[in-house]
Amino acid sequence: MIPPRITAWLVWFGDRINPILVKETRQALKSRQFTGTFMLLLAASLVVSFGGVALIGPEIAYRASGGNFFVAYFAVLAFAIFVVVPFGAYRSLAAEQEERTFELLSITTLSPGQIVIGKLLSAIIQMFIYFSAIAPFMAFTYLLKGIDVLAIAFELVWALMGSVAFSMAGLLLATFSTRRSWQVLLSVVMITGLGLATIGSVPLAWELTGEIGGIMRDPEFWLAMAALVTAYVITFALVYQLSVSQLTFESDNRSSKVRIVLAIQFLTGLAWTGWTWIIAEPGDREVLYIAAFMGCFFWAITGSFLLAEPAGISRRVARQIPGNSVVRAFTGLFFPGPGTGLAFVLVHLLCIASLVAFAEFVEIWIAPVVGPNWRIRGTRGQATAVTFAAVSYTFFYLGLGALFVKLIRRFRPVPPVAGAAITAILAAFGSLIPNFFIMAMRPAHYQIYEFWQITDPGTTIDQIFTKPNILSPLVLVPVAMAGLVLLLNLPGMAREVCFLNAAGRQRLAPAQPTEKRADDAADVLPPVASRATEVISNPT
Amino acid sequence: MVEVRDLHRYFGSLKAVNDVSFQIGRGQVFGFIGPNGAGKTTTMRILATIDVPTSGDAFIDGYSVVNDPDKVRRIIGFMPDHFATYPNVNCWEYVDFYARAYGLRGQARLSAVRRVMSFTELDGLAEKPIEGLSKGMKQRLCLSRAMIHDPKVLILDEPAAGLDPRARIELRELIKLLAADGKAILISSHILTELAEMCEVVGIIELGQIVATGPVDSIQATNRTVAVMEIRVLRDSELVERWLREQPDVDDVEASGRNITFHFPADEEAQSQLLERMGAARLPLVSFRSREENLEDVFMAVTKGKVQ
Repeated sequence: MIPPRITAWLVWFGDRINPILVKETRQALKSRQFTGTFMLLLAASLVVSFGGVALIGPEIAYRASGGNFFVAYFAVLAFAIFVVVPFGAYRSLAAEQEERTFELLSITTLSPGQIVIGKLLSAIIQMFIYFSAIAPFMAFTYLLKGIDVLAIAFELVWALMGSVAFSMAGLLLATFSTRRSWQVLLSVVMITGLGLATIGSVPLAWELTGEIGGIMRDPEFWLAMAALVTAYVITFALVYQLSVSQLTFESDNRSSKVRIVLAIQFLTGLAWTGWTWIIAEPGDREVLYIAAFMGCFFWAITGSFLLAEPAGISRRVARQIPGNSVVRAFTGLFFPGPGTGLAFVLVHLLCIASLVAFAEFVEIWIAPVVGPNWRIRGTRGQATAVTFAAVSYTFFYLGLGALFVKLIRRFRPVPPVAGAAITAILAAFGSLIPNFFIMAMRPAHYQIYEFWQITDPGTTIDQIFTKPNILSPLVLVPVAMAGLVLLLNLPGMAREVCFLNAAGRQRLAPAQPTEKRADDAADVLPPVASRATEVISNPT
Repeated sequence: MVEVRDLHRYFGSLKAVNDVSFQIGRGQVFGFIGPNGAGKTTTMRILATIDVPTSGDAFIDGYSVVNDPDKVRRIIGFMPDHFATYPNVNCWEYVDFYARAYGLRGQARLSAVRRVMSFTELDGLAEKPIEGLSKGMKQRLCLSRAMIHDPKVLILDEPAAGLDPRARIELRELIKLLAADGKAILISSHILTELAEMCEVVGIIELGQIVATGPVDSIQATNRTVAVMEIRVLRDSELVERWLREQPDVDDVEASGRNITFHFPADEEAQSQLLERMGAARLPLVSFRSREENLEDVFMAVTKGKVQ
């Protein structure tokens, strides 16, 4: 007999559990797929146990065979947690879109975040059930020697994190399209990716099982783990936020939170790079190159989506613009729009260029004074010149993409994915066409760099590496190209900023019904300026 | 309670909804009529905050569907034209899930589930898997879901589609009860005779535009210029037929035994004068009436059958 107090607490707790989790758990417990996978997992584990023991024979008493058994169990578990659970999470959300149950869900009081979290939690519950099924077998491997508890725990924790990450990625993938044909294609992509991840995880587990004990004693290992966990958490947050924004109502703000996560991701990367730069060998500038290239790559990918955000801000979003001009100045770049998106990327790219230049300045001019044994490796100014060129190319192609998207939007709508594709195609053309002509015109051993290859970032940056000079045309021309596309994009960017300013200053009033509700009588907003209203309907 | 104002929704060059405006009062049942592809479902989806208008706005109890969809969602119940469900779920679990999704907790949730299941007479089928329900029962379940949070406004898209006559009558009674409870109801249907019985006001939409709106009688009066008159005579029907053909404004005279029908202006003054003349001519008249026009006649009169 359960005491009434505990019953009351259980009811209280049950009411506060995510409704999606409650529904999905109820469904899972009745589904054949869940029962089938669970039974299959148990059966496979039993087969591994009996088969392994029979194969090893009497030697099991003195041979350290725990590691082998562990990897075999891991392979069984990997199928369940790397394929079945993430694909189940993907299908669960994709089916909501296909069957149009998501529409009904979206008009309840559940937020898109609650829907995503609910789906993820139900996947995690399934993971734990599969883990619990295989836990006795894992304990069995420890008794067989050849693997220690720390190694088992380490691999299982990463397996769990991997499964959660795959499930989250599956949920994001499910939001990409509501069309059945696209869902079929995405299912194939998902299954292939998960299959490859599962196949790859088993040899990795094998390697780790043998090596992990020794590696764990190295302090750098834990530093690397900390960096990995940071990257995992922040990337997870980004994927989650992207899923939520995909499911958010069209007139709501789909962009600001994604931009906040991107900025945090950038700052985290910057912090780790800074730390690595400080602890690296004096004068070693590889960290700077890696940071610059990774930073440019990161903003090239994310920027290509941001520049194709829908033009115009809904009245609902406009009402969120801060009235205070100082707050508005700091938060303006986080509001949706292709112009603010491009400006957002530009600020971060400039940040990369400035920091690398500052780091190299410190290495060349300050460090030798502070530490007499300091010796710079490579040519002076190389990192700055390379970074300036990389940053300029990134912005040039993004800006060009933004102009093309704007042009195409005069005739037809362009979704962000198409905008990203347009930018990628432009970058590919700019990079490949000059090289194609070089290859067609000259034999391989005469193929030297020609100036008209300037649109190709790869070969141009390679040239800068060999002849680094910040004032060389190879650096100045890409900077000028970036400046030119900035100038061409400037009117659009300025218009968006002006609109944000106007909307923030005038606190746009929403449209009102003919008969106002009685409780709304006090909620009177200042009059709407005609200019701001006009910009809302056609901001570009 | 519901105000739709200058609503537009374009899909590329297709103007699915093109300047639609109407209002629905508390406790009023508004029938939304139109051929397939006329823009009914798109309008309803905008009101349900599933879609957004290209321009214009709609207000539910004063809240804009564009600017305050979260607030609108708390006060509307939407029943789409398709039944969306989940596998491995029974009736009670289905309704309970939506009760949780609408933020109902504890006793309030349990009593809300009981209330709607009792109202739709599904309480006996609580444990039955949804897959095993008949079409009529599924529609009832769908209505339960839409009502679970006791919304002020119900938007019902083709709720009677595919139902047998008994289920239709039962649904109609349920809707009347809901309206009596003060809820504003927007309902679309192809079965116009049924709509006429339960709707006080109708809106007829074609090619994304409202072509007529208001009480059924008022639309009839506005659109009716010619009435079909029916008379019955005691004898001499050929004589009466001949007499009628000679009268001004009388067209399409047809006799069938002692019954004669003809077209005549809908103006009641003119009809009264014609009756007076018939009396003066000492015609052996037994009855004289204008045939009642139903919603189907009105619909056919105001729409042109165009699709986009």
